[in-house]
Amino acid sequence: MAIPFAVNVNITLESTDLTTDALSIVNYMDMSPITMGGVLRRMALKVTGVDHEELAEENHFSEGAIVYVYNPSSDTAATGNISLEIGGKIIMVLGAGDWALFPWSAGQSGDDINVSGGTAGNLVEYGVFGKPA
Amino acid sequence: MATLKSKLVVGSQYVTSVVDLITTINKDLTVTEGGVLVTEIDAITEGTAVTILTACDYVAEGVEGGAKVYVYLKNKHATNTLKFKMAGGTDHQITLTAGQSAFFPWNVVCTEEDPTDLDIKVFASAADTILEYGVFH
Repeated sequence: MAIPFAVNVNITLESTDLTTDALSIVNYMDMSPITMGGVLRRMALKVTGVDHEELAEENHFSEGAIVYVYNPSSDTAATGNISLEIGGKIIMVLGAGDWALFPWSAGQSGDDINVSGGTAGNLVEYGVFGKPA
Repeated sequence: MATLKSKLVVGSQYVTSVVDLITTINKDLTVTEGGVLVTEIDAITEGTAVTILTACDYVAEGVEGGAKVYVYLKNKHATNTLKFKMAGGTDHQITLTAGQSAFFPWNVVCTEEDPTDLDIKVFASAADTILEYGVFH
């Protein structure tokens, strides 16, 4: 039996020169309890537009699993991008230093998270935190 | 030009046997437009999901006049769930339970063949669910 553990996430967005009033958003989320998770780095070996490979299998997680993805590249050109495909479409493209955090609608047929890079071998850092399907 | 300071902290205790997990990412995003809105979602079935953001309203980075586009979503309701369709088809890709939020760089590629496939659509588990969302580019 898996031991539940806690995951806490903070998303902060701030700007003083975008809108008339300063923008300040701080969202704290406590994901506890979950039983699966961790952070890994791996290479995206397929090139965007040519092919992709599976990053996370939708049948391994329940709906609402929290997905964290970070592109650690310093290449600011498109060759440094990391693309995420869900539901058969590339819905997110992470440039150098970009991150994404979202609760994933796992558990639906055909909605694996697939990854590809602007160049084969780009690094992607990612984690999925949730419960088994 | 304006700056949107983005920060993500992911922390966990007991996730590994040796050390606590703590990941912090700071990134200053250069943007020229953006802001946050609040709207009420009354659609409660996948088939009636309402479009909140239209991909073809934006120009993707790499295309003349284009820029990166970032999306922020938050479910403001105390109990209801919001589900987001971002790839056409019948499935949804993001599920926000009460109080949850998301932030990601959105792929706004707009094609003649599938001009609405990458639009962001939403439906709720019950009517009168408040969504806070923003788009920055």
